[in-house]
Amino acid sequence: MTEEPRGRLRTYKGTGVSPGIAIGRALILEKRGGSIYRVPIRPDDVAKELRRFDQAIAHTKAEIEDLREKVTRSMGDEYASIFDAHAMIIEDPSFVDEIRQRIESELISAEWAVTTVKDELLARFDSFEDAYLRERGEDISDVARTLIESLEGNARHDLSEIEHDVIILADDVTPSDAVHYNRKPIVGFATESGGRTSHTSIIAKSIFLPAVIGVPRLTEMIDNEELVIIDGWEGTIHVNPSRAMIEECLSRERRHREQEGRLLENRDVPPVTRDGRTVTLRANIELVPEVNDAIRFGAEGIGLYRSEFLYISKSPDLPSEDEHYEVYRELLEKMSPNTTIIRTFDLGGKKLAREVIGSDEDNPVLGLRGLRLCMRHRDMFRTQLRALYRASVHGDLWIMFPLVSNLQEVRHVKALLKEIERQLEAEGIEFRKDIPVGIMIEVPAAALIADILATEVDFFSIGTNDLIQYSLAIDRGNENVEYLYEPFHPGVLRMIRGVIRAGSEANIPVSLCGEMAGDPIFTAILLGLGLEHFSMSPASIPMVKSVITNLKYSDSRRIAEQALLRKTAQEIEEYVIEQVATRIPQGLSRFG
Amino acid sequence: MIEREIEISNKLGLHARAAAKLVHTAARFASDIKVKKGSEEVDGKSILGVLLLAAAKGSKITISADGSDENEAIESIQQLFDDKFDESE
Repeated sequence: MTEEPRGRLRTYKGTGVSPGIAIGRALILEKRGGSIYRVPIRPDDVAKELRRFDQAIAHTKAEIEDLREKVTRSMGDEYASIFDAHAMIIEDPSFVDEIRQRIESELISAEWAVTTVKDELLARFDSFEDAYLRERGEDISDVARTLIESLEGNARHDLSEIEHDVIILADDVTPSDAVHYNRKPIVGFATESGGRTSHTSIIAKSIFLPAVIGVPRLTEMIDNEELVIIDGWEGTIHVNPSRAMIEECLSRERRHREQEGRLLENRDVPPVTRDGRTVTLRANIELVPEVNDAIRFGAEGIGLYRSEFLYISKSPDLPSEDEHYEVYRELLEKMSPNTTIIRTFDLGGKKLAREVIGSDEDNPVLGLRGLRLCMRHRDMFRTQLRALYRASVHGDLWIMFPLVSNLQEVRHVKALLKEIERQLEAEGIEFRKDIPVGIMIEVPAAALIADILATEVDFFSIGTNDLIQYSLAIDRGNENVEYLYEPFHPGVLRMIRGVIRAGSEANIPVSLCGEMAGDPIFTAILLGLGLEHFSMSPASIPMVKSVITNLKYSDSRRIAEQALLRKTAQEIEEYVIEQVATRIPQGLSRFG
Repeated sequence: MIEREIEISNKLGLHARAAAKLVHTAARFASDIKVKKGSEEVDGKSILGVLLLAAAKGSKITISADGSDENEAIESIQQLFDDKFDESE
């Protein structure tokens, strides 16, 4: 803990996943069970913090006493005596005085002081040889947890009390954390782990929060309160920047914004190639307010609404039918008459579904997730589907199911939809009868049987993030194999080509809503493979549109054809970049 | 001041419940009470101190009491160990 920032300029390199410059004071976020922030406090606030701690002790004592009584009644005195130990721990000066002392001398929040003292004690217990005694550390954990819960109950340390801008630094940030960062004083964040296409990165981008990920040992190398610049374009973090450096970053920010402004001028230009082929550019969003960004950047509809964020923001509770309905209605009304494709809950895998699944899985990414999870938890699913049907009268709703791997799944879910329709009819509730029903193609086997699947659905959307990671058998968030994440892999491109062909032969629309759709480097080849519907983060739309309006469809056909004759991802990438660079005056950049 | 060496014979050693009983008993007396295992000495009235001794069955500890009621204190504590903290074996 430092009160005196180290003062030295340092620069760390990571991966920029959300563009922009953010300047603020470092706030290190520690994740241990709940979110406990290492929040610094002002010397003036020490007395207040100590009072808060004393109240928490009183509350914890009462709670332990209460528990003791309950257990005595139900199980007898012998069992209840375990709470004697808890009651003693909370009164033990070597515990509580130590915490008080740290609040005073280190100027930290009570929550953080409890956490550090507890962790140090646990480390000592962990070193015991006797297994039974070692496990007694649990008693300390228990008491510490109750203490922290009471602290959080009383005047929880609210980030909104912090008056200056802060940059969150953490070993990892979950999508649900990121959703909540969408407000002051948080202006940016950086993490030790994570991949470019992780959901956290997607969210950061969608709420325009500059973010840098994948900086090893970040939280150890930077101290709380140090001045930090996050450069989401370059993927760098500058600590204790000079005035000149701040100026330089800000002017770069201005240049980028100006460029973005120029791109935004094409907002109302239709996405048509120079030789007259029209495509649609829709937006991927997860939060309702992003509809405004979608409109601002010129999206012609929502190509992917990730409804699971509705769940994540309410977790651990499930949204009610009316809560679902209100969100969908608002989306549809705002986007009308354009299409809004709503994807049903894509939970599971790494996406926080433990409350729903109820247990950990050995291999969650290949486990109960996506449509599989929803079909297992029918009540939850019915609630969502009923709300979707009810909302369908407010706009052009298309419903999409994630992670389908065979035809049976499609048939089962369609049977469920029929059931919902009958139910709503019986209840006299109005809904649209012709809602298009589609699936995500993100499992390699599904891509290979796209012709079969196309006979039973109204549209496809290719989810390249998962499709790539499953077909290449690499975890896109794993730094060790991230180099193998190759969207230009000929196997990946052949699969995409196959799905687009199958769709076109069956006369159903095919869209692509993975990260590839929003990265201008892929625009020409996707266009050339015959893709007509692109869906991407709203901010990517102007750049992709400018690539499209500068290309000829006939040229991109040739580029795609020639590219697919090449044998490695690298050869294809080099070829495509070279071909496109000569046709696009402003050149290609990954971040518009 | 009086001291007494005790070998821990209850099955689970000075675990939470036994430690709680020891601390509870020690706290009834005005005397300073220390518990020592090897080179480590802790306050007999602090549960964390006693737990952190990690005194398993078979280990030897030394209890000391210093004060006006030291005799009574040491006898009461000895009694706890003799009764194996009333645990069922």
